[in-house]
Amino acid sequence: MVSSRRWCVLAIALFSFGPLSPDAAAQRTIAYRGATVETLGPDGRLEDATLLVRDGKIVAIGTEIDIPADAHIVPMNGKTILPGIVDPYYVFSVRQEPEVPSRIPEQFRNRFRGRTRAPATTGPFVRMADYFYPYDTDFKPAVRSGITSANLVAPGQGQSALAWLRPEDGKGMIFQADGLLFAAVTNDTQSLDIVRNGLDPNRGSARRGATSGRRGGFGRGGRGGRGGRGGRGGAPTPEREGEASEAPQADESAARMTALWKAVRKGQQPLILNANNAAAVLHVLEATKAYEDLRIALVSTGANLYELLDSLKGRNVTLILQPGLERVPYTSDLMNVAAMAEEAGIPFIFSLSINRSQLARSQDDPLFAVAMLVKSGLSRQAALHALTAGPAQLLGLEKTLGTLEKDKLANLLIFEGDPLESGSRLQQVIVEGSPVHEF
Amino acid sequence: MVNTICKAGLCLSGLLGLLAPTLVAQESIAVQGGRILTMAGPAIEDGTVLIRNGKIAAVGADVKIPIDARVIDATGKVVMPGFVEAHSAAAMSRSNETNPVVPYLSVLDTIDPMRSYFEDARRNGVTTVAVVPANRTMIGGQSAVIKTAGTFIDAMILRRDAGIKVSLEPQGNSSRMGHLAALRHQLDEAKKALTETEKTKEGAEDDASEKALQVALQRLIKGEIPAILYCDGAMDVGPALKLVKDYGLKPILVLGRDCYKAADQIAEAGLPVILDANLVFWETDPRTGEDRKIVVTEAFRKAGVPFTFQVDGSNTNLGTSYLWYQAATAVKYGLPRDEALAALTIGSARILGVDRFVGSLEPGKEGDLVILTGEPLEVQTWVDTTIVRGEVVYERANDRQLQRLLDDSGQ
Amino acid sequence: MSSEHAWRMALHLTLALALAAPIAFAQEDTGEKKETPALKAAPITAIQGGDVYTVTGEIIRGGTVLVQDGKILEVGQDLVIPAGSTIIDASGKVVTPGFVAISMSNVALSAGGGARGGRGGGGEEEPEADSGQLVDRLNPFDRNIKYSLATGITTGCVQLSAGGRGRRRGRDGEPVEVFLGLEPDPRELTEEELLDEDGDGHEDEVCQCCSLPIIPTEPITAAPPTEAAPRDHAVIKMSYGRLDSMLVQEDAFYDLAPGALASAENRHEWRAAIRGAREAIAKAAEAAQAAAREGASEGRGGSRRGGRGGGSGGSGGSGEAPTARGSRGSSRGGGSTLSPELRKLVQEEIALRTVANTVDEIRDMIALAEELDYELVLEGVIEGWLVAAELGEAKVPVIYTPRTRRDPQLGQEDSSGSSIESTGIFEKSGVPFAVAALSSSISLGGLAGRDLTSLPLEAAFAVRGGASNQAALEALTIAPARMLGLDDRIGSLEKGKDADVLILNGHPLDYRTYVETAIVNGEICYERAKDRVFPVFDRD
Repeated sequence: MVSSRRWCVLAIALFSFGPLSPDAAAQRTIAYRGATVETLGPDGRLEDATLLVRDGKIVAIGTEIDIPADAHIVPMNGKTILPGIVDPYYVFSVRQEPEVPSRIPEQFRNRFRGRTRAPATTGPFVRMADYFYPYDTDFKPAVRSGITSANLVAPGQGQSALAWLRPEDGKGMIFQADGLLFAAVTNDTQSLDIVRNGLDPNRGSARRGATSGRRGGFGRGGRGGRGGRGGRGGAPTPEREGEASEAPQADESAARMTALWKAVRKGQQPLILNANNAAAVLHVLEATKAYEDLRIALVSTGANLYELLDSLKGRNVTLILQPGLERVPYTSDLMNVAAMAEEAGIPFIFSLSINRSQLARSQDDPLFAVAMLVKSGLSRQAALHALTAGPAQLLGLEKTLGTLEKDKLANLLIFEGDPLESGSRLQQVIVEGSPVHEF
Repeated sequence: MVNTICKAGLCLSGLLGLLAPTLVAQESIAVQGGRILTMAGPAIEDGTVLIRNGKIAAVGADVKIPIDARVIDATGKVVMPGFVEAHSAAAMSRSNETNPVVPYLSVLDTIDPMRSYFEDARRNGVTTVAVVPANRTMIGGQSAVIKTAGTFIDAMILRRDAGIKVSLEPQGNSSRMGHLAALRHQLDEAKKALTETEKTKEGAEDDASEKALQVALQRLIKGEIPAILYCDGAMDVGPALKLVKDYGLKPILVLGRDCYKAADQIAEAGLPVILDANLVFWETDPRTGEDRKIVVTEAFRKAGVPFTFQVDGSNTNLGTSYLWYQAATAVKYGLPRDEALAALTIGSARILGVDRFVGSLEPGKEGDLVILTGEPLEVQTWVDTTIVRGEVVYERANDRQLQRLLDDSGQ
Repeated sequence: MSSEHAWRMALHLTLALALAAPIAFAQEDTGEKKETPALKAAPITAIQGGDVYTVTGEIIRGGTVLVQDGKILEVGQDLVIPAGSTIIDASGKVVTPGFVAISMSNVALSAGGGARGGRGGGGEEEPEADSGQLVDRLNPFDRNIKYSLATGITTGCVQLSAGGRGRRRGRDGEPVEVFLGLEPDPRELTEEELLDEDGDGHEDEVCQCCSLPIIPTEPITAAPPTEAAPRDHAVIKMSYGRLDSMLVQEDAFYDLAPGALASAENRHEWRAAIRGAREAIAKAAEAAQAAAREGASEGRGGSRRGGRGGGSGGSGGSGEAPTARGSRGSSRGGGSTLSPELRKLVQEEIALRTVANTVDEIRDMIALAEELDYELVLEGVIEGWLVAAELGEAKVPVIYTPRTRRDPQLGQEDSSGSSIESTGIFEKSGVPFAVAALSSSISLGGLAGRDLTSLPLEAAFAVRGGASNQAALEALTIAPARMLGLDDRIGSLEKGKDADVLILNGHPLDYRTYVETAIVNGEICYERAKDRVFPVFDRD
């Protein structure tokens, strides 16, 4: 009897102190003890605190926590724990720089230097969950940068998908296939109508039969160029007509789109809008004035965004910014748009992945650009919030992500020291309690 | 009697006339109250650096400040020698990137003091820089060590013949073998010519450029002028060291990212190196496909090789654009802080052979210093003031580029 | 009375007077205050102290311009400025109305996607109204707006496409990816379009050594016949950063490309079109009367009258002229639909604008306009100096570029080619002229002083040609405003007009003058010191 009990005890002991496999870890309680925890929640920043994780969730957090006897204790020695970074706008596809067409004569070829193509604004409606093929994508720079969950979007319009950045799960990365509505606008009627018609489905039919009145030759038929159809003499173009009457998938897609726009119109979810330039933003604000419940998350990589901040006040708009100091256009002066937004009272959040080359080149110190913003006037709290709790709120995930509080998911970043200090390494990235990346 | 007095008067006025330039002295500057990191001893709390006539006159805790000196208050701030950038091609405008063997070309002919590089350098506390041709030509030209402030290049030169750039990276369609062979051929020719002229002591009838080429290369193999050797990959290090041995070159090694693999080889040769701007990267193992994180500074630190840093472009939002960041990265992964700071200052100066003039705050050295708002290797620290040869060349309060930032944030 | 007593009385008197006087004045003030509009909710801006060139009235030295709600509240001397107004000090400066650029291109608009067609399929017209399309393309952050304001231009008639050709449509008529920026995406342009940088429909000749466009000087020939299609344009305010009220009007003219009325065939069609338009209007009017009399539903009348199905049968029911020229669109045979521009032209709401350079062309255009009874505005008019009297009699205003030099025909030196004295001659003959720059777009490369930013310089050259300063200033302001039919809103500093005001540091026609501040629709849109478009330095 005694010996078998001793064996039991020994067995239990071995299990307690044996190497911790990820599965075992999930079932065990892990106590991160003696850490500086940036909760980003009501508790604020806790010094010398303990964080208990079990089954991928945070079960307790605070400075005076009882650590269960069977917990695996990880001494933190003053390291900092931050909530995992939530990226609200992870573009999943590579935009290609188009070739210069050969018919362009030599003397004009230099006009193409340095031009980037606008994102496609009028492609078909893309459902990211269907489109997502993770196997030939390199998520490592994002993972190493501390991004734990991402809202996957594509150029153009569609429905996003929410994913953990755990490349080994393959397609299983997606944890919410029915994501948010996203669209891209520029200052032209075609793309703005996507927004207008989406918000007001009856709009299109009211217009049909209304004037278009572009005249060709002294008052005769439609010209090319405007209002008229493009460039052909009168014949209808059959291949274009058939678009709407395709397979049932089109109907399903159309139904989904309608439902999404309805939800957006009622303010049940935000519209994620990529505006190509500041003019497009003004047009969108104009077009959406009447919809009081509408919430917009605006990605605008245009250089004139800083001139728009006044127009955004009082509108339900959250800015999605690429972190970093920017140049005032046509000068070499620097400006801090995030700080300007903070001062103007306009909510903003960061997306580290908007600039892929910057993401790739700062893997060793992913928050450097954010640190530069804090250095030049942005409040530290706003900066950290914009990486974590802010995006979580936008994506509707605030119950489970974005802050370190009881019952939320254990998505953690463990830094050697202050996350905004260059000398401080990101040592571990944990998603749902399991390490995804370690040094 | 009168005559004597007149003569004396004349002599005196003559003397005064000669002395006039020195009598009309530059203003003296006393930087007072900061924590001074001299790079030549322990830190001095609440000390003073006195600069006179462009040179450091005194450094210490109890320096007497002359009445006419301009006093800059550095209380609560950190004072250190201006940074020395050991290798940069950014100061040049339209430098040689194509002619393969031109050791007689000098960077001094293509440096544009109005380039934004210099403004950024002063903003970041860099007071001395070695301008070196880039890595694209076999023997690219002569480098020079210059100050980062001035209107005309002649007044900015610290060391004229700071080295001849030799790149082991093959260009265009050339192969490694061909490239090295051509290089050796050039050096052999120079060696031959050297021994011949030593025997005959006659001037050659070669045309001027051929002569110039020979003269330059001969200086190289006589060790009169350093050879700045660029090794692109680890496999270039061996041949580079062999070149040094075979031709008696005085080397300064500039390394590409992958040369970390040859750290031990370099340690054996006992040479310091200038590292690539890319200090931390992930390497994919070609067989397993797994990534391994490489920290270049650790490879060299463990091998015991002294090193200094380069920067990469001028992107405000990337750390690798700043010298301090490169040093901070090294510290992050294990280099002692003092060694990192030394690398940015006296270490670089030593490698460049200008440590007699710059790199530390010691009397007699050039009056180059930088006043920082906090610890040198922290991201929140700003450069407050930069002084080059006793002149204030940068003040953050008057920096137009930062005006909007600082106004908005009230800093 | 003792002297002391007298002194004291005097003192009291003076004191009393001194106290009374301000009260008296104050009463005057309040009296005046009651006359000037009381301080409403909207704030007032006062531009005070400068020499105010009203253009339609006299020059007011040390005058004041009051602005409220985007309009001019009052202009005068010694105006009382209500408390709480924002004061802009213009002392030592010159205040003028904003300039009106009658020919502008590549400003304030992004390249629109040309081919919207195809999405709706086949023969359908686009459901959107045109104004919806243009408005969407407005870009209030276009850098060219700043350059325009720096030149003093506050309103411009912006060309949207070159004559007849549908620009910005794909080569196969496919919908075109929109490109945003200051210029259209060169990828989308055909080679001809690339070579026609200023968009006037002719290929620019380019210098071999420096690739700059060559301004032609050889003797003029009449323009060859081209496609007869009106060119899109819009009148746009240069209100940087503000979208509302940026678009003033689409189609202020019926704008035809040069050569659109050149050949006999074109003229025949034109006459037919005008005739057809008048018939359609008459029929519609009859039908409306009939409907009103019968008390029938509006629907019938409305559909006839509205006639905006667009794009077909402009020859009003008398059968389609099936020529391929110009008729790009669907040809819905038969319908008595009428394009709105043509209707406006025929009802004399807008003028026909076209280019006529030789004497014959000018005379032909005048004759045609008289025959068919519509308003005419002529552009180019290089040989206009030879027929100035006829232009004056016919009351045809012109758009002219004073620095144009075209050689005369050989043997006809006195009766062909350009003349430096054109503008003087126009003024004497009572021909109102507006000034257009050598190029209608903004170009910062190459030689300075040839693009749109040289507009005031161009007006100064009008003075060199004999015109008065007043005529030259009008050529920048009220003359183009009248041509656009917008002189109730722009072109001068008068009460009730739009508050488009410039503060200059010298006479507007002086080459040394810079625009210091430009106000559009009552808001400051440009300040030289802040916007750093031009260098800022102290002249003295």
